[in-house]
Amino acid sequence: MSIEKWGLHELTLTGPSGGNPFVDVEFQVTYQFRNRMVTVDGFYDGDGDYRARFSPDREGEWSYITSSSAPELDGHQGTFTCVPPGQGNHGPVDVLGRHHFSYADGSRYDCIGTTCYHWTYETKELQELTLESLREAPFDKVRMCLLPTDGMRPERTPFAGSTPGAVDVDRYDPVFFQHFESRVVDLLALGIQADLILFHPYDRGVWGFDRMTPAQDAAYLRYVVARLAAYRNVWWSLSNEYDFNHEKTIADWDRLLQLVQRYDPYQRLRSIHNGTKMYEVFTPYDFGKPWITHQSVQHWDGAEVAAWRECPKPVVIDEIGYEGNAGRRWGNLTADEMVHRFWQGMSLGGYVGHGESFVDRETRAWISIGGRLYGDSPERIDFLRAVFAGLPRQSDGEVDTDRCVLHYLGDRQPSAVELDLPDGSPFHFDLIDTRAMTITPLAEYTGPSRIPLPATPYLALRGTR
Amino acid sequence: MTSVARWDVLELPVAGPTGVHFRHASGATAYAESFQSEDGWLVRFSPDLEGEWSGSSGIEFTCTPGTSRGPVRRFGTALRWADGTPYHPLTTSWFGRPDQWAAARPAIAASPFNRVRLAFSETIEDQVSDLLTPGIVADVILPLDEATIRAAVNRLSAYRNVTWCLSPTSTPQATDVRRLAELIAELDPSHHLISMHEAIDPGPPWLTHLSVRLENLRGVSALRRDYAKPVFVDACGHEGNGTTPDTSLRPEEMLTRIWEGTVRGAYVTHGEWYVDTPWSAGGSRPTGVVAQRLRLLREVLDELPDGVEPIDDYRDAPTLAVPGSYYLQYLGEHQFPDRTFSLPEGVYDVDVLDVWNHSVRRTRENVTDTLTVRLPGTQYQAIQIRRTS
Repeated sequence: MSIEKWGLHELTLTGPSGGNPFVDVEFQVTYQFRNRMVTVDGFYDGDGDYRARFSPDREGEWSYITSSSAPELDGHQGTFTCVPPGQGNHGPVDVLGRHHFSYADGSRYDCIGTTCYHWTYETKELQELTLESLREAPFDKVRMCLLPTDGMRPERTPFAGSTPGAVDVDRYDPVFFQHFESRVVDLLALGIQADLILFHPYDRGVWGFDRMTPAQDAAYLRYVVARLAAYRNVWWSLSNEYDFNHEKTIADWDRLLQLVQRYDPYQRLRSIHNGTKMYEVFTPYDFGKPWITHQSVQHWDGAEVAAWRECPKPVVIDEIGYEGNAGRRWGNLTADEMVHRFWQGMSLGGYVGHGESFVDRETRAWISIGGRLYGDSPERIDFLRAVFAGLPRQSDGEVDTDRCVLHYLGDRQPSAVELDLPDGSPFHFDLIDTRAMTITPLAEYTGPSRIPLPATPYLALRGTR
Repeated sequence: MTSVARWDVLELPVAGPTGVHFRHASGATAYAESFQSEDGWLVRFSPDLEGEWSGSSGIEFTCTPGTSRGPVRRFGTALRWADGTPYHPLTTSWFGRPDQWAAARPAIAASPFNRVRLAFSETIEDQVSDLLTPGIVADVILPLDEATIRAAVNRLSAYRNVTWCLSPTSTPQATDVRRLAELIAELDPSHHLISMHEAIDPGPPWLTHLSVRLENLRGVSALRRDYAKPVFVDACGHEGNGTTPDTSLRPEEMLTRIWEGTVRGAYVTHGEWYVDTPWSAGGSRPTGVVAQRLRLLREVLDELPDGVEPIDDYRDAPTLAVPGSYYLQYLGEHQFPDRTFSLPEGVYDVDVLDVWNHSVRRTRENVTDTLTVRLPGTQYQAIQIRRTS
C-alpha cells in the first residue's frame, strides 16, 4: 500500500460492540519510521468498527502495530510506503517565523479566512452550494462549529441523541462525524483549512454541551482529536467567544487546551477565540501561553495588530465585523468598511477573516449556514490577497522592507503624502486603489519624497526596488 | 555467530556512509546510521530484544540476555529502566573541559549521583563510556545544529546510559525544535529520552520530559499536573560563593530545594560553584557540603516502593506516598513541633530524617487510626513512614 506524504492512512478492525465501546475499549496504534514512533488514538466508529487514522510526514517505509484492551484489536501489524505528495498537496499549515504561516512544503499560505459556523448542519443542497461558493471565493480557511446552538434542532449531533435533555454525552454519534469528516475532506480538496470550533457559549444549558464534567470534556476532545487530527487541513479553535461561557474558567480552558495538545500527535494549529459584543469588551485569552500557536482575535480595529504583535505569534483577527445588513452591529458593515479593516490589519503584519450576514436574501446569513455570497467584499479581498502574496518577503515571512514599502492610506483622502524613503537605488511606486481594484504605475522615488495623490479614500502606495 | 548482550553495544565496520536496517525475529525493526570514527566508518546498535537479529548489511547476530537494566524509559510522569525497575535520578551538573574529565571521573563514581549533565564536545564519548560501568546516566546537551546532532546520535545512541537534551535558544523557533527532536527520534534505535532545556513549550509529544529552570520548587507540582510528563528541574541554582545569585546559594538552600522538588515528584539537579575550582564548571570534586548530604536522599530514593506518587492529602507539606503503606513528607524551612497522619490500623516504622544534619531517628508505632509524630522543632526535617504489618 502507498500513502501520500501528509495524506491519510486509515486502519479498520472489528472489535467489541457491547457495553459502551467509546469508554470501555482502549485502542491505540504506534506508527514507526526508522526509529521514530508516533502513537495515535484509535476510535470506535459504530457497528463493531474500530478505526485509526494517521498522517505520515516522511517519505519511505512505515510500519505500525496496534495495542488495545480488547484482544481482537491488539497486536495487528502492517506496513505502508509513504510516497511524495501529489499535486496540490502542500502539507499542513505551520507557523513561519513569529507572525506568519506557510505550508509544510515551504509554499505560501495566504490565511484569508471566512466563517460558516454551522454549514455542515444544513441540507445537502445548501452544503453543496456552500462548497460551490467557496470554490469561487478567495478564502483558504473556514471557521466551523462541531456543536449545535441552543436554537438548532438537527437530526444528529456529535453525541448520541438529538433531543435536548435526552442526549448521552458519554457516547458519540459516528454518523454525525462521518458526515462532518467528509466535509472537512471536501474543504481539503478546495485547498481550504478547516478551523474547527470545539466549544461555544450558545448552548445555554439547552443541550448541556457547555457544562459537561471535566472528564466528559476530556473524553469528547480525545474522541474528536482521534477522528480528525490526521486530516492535514484541520486547525483547533477550542472555543468561540470563550469568555461568554460562564460555566468555564480560564483554568478550565488552560486544561482543555493542554489536553488537545497532549492528544494531538501532529500539533495542528491551536488557539481560542474571544467575544467582544462588538466595541464593548475585549478580554482575549493570554496568547503567550505555550500551548497557543497563534492569536485568534475578535476585535473591530485592524490598527491594534501592531500592539498584539508584541506577542511572538501570528495575529489572526478571525472576526472583525461582517459585511451585511443584520440588525446587530457585528453584522452590518459596508463592503468599503469591511475591506478597509482588512487592509489595515494586513498592512500591519496581521491576518483578517471575512464574514457576511445579509438577512433578506435567498439564503440565510453566510456566517451561520454558508450558502451563497452576496457582498462586494470577496472580490476586493481576492485583489488584496494577490497584492500581499506578491510582496517581497524575508525568510521569516515579514515583508522585506529593504526592497518594498507599503503604505495603506485608509479612509482618508490626502492630496499627497511625504515619505522619508531610504537612500540608494530608487523605489518604483504604484498606486493601488483597493476599492476599484486597480494598480497604476507612478514615478520612482528615493530619499525624502512627496508623492501626489488623487485625494480619494482607500488607496495604498507600494514601492519596490 | 556474533552475539551481543541485550542493551550492550554491537559495532560494525562499514565501507562508508550508510544506514543499516535491523530486523528481529518478531518483526520489530530498528535503523542505525554510520558515523566517522577514528578507525573509519562504523555502525553501532544496541539491541533491546533477545534472539535472532539480521541487518541489511548482511550481518546476523544473536542477542543474549542482558546483564544491565538497559536505557531509561518514561512511564507517565515517572521513569523506569528498560527492565522495568524504577529509576530515581539524582543529578549533578558538570560542564568542564575534556582535559578536566580524568580528574572529575572518580569523584562522580564515588558520589551519590546517578545522572550527570554534560556539555557536548568532540570527546563526549569518553565521558559517556566512563559512566556506563557505574550505571550513571549522561544527559548530553546538544547544540541546535543538525550535522552535530546527527553525528552525536549515530555515535552515542548505542550507549544505554545516554539521554538527549537540546540546548536552550534565545530565538524561539518552534519548527526547529520539532525538526531536531524528531531527527533524534528517527536516528536513535534505543529510543532514549529527549528534552529541550527551558523549552518555550515542553508540551508537544516529541519532547519526552521537561527540563526546566526553576527557583521556587513548589512550582513543580503544577508542571507535573499540566504536562503529565516527568519534570527535571535541571537548573535551580548552585551551592557556592560565586558572583551571581545563581552561583551563591547557601548549602541549606541548595539542599532544601532538591528535597522539596523531589518530594513533589520532580528530579532536581545539583550544582556547585565555589570560586577558583567550581565543580559544575569542571572541578575535580565537589568541595561543598550538599553533595555529601545527598547520600541520605540517595538511600531514601533507593528504597522507595514501586508506584510512589505525590498525594494531595496534606496540603501544607509535600508528600510522596503509596497510600496505606508508605509516606515521605518534607517540611522544608518550617519548624513544625509535630505532624499528624491518618493511617490504616497497623504497625509502622517511623523515621524522622534531619536532612541537614544527616541523622535518622527511628521508632516503631502501633497505629489505630492516626499517628502524631513528634519533631525536634528545627528546619529541614522529613518524615518517612513504612508499614511493617
